Amino acid sequence: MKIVYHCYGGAHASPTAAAVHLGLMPHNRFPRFSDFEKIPFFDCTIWNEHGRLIKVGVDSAGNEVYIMGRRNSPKMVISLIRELARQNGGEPDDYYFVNCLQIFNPVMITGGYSSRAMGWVKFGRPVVTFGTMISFPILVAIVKKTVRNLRINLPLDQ
Amino acid sequence: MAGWIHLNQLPVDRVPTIKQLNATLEFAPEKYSKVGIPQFLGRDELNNEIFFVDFGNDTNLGLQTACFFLKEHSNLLEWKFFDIRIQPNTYIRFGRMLYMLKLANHGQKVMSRGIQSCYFQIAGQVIRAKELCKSFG
Repeated sequence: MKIVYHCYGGAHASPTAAAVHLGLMPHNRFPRFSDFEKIPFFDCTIWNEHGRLIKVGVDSAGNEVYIMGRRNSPKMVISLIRELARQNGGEPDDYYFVNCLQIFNPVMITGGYSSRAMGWVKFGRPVVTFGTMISFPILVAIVKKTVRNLRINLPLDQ
Repeated sequence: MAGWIHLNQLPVDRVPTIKQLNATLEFAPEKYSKVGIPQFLGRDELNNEIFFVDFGNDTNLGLQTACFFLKEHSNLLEWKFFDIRIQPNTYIRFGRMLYMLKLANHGQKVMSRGIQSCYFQIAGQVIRAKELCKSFG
């Protein structure tokens, strides 16, 4: 199974969810600023990588975990990937897409836009990190729901 | 529409009638909801497989997604994407509005009339695409 965490830009919410899934982030306590430095691809992807499945790792159950930015067109991108997989001899149902875009978080939007779209990393990265900290419990809940739905035996499920 | 012109199901030298346009299978309202799904139309005289795909409001993202995926899982060079663009006229805009209002039958009639008005824009792009296909071998 390929588990794809996707959000608008694939730079903040989805890498954080993927890191929680892979056990790279704590799921039972609030994260610190330093925890976000350990997240692969956090605040890294830019607009020309949107639509690309970026492999973050493999979980203990053998599932490949990916992240992806899909702007405001999740339906189009997901349909396209599934259909292209089918046409190339793959199994569309091997891809499990998880939407990480949550409730309106202006701190995350301001920081993410400043860092990724404007290139103001020094200002944007701390702001978006703080915004992601606010959304962290929601992201953990999304990952836990995914683990439950897929009946994967991960420590998160407990 | 461009796919059917490519497959010689619609003429390139004259504007087809509304009946002809409506008769083309893919010019049916239900097909418009399949955003992001490449749909096979047939093979042309050079044995190329012809697909059409609707990338919705973000053509650039659709192309990026397709290219990234095909690069990793297939031979990207086997695929050629042609972005068929038309200058939407009043009929097309009004037709789209009717589709959005779930008035598909009326929408199709108005849209057909709009497509007739800009038919040569589409046909011209198909002719160039076919020439490019030949040059790619």
